[in-house]
Amino acid sequence: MKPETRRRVIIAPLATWAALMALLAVTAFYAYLPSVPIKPEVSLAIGIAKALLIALFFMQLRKNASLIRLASMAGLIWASFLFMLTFADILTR
Amino acid sequence: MSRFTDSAGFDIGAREADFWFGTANTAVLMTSSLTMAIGERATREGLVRLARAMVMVTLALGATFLAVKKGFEYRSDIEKHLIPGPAFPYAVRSAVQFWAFYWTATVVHAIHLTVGLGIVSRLLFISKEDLPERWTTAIGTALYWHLVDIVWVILYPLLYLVGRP
Repeated sequence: MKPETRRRVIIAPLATWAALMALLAVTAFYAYLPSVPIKPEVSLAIGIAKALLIALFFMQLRKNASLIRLASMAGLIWASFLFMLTFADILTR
Repeated sequence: MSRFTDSAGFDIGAREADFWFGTANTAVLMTSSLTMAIGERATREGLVRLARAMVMVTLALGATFLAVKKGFEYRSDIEKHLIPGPAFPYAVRSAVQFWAFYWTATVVHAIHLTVGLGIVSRLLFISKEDLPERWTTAIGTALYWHLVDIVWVILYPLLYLVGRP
């Protein structure tokens, strides 16, 4: 395997995975720290960061074909409609 | 929402969720995303042996996730009567709501993961000669697998990190 291929096929995903594992360790550690503020917000923010890492680097949405990016955006927008309708109902009761 | 209206009660329920099972499974699933990503890229590059090996490891990790989830975690939850109903140990409404959310979300996720195992294993039925030209199948499969991982990564803080000391 050429070094360039190895970098693309193995090293790049490994780097993303290492970042994901590091974020998992941080979020698990933070959840158990006594008396630190905004725990739910921090844990959710780290969760979203992990999801973004997976979407941008594992799924390669950063530079994938436009059709794939469009389809993934459609899913996100559709999910946002569902959340919006649910919250519009509950928050205005 | 339930957490917003009665966070103390919600935390009582959430504290019962098993942190170690949840965290171990998150690591397992993220690693399976790694092997799926390598498998997909290897297919594109025509590295058939590597691609197949990675697909097999992905399947093994997916099965491990389900075994930990269903075999160990659900069993322990059921033994502690953490199912909303007459035997549920807490008479707090938002604690019940947490567990209703827990069961709904994790079972739906497990169903998607099981479907994912079927989709991923399909890659093994493509002959070695045909695999490199079927790289779009590998991409589609990988996208699905990563999505199931993304959903879990968001569920993890909602289910396992709430109400810790």
